[in-house]
Amino acid sequence: MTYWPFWLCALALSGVALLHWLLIGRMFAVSGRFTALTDAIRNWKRSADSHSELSQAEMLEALRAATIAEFGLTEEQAAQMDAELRAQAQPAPQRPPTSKQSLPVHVLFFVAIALGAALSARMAQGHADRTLFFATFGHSPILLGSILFGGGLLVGFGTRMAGGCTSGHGLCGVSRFQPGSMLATAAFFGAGIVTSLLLGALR
Amino acid sequence: MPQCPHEASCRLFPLFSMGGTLAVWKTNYCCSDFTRCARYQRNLREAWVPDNLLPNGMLLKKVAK
Repeated sequence: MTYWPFWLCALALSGVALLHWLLIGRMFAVSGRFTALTDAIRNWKRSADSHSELSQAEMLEALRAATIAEFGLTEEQAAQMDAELRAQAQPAPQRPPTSKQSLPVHVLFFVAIALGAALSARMAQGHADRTLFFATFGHSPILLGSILFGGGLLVGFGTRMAGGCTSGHGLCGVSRFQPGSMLATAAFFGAGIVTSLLLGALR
Repeated sequence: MPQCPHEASCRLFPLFSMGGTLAVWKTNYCCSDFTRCARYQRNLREAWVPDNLLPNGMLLKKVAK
């Protein structure tokens, strides 16, 4: 069995994380992206009921009218407050634009992951060692599918509890010397080693 | 003065921070008892808060002309 050289894998992983940060301005985190995807799907219909059909000017006008109604202001009082604001000419606080990405971007991200995994599996044909997996769980497609699905659920549950996965904590958090990420990564890999040893012992 | 911990994610907070009439919301909700803000309460239950939900629980509608 021949693995890819460790330095090539390290360069590829760090390159992906760096490119993601440079191009999108966000840390590379697969579980975080998955959460954003599920949130985007959930909010898809809801956003149609939101004020999205209002322009910024209409929004401000509606907000001003609601303010006058809520706090019992007269039109004169409101006009005076707005005039004072204009006189002070204080610019609105600027905050960096949030990279609120749309549903297609999230979907594209996961399609790219699947394509990359397929390409990697194809290139590794004849090299990857899956004997331990098949020896432990057999070859039944239903059983293997159920195990992989259950494993995926557990990974999702764990990453939500830990606030990130191997990409978010392991790649980005550790490289930024985040103590929580170092602890989480140690737990990920520690649990992986123990599980692997247990499976090997049971074989 | 207490400040709402959700101000960074609230879509209306930047508008309230513009000052003028709209600043009354900030004074009465964001920088006082923010726990009674409908947006804050909604955000405790779920991540998504409608952009047109006002702190008093009313929904913002387009002004009829």
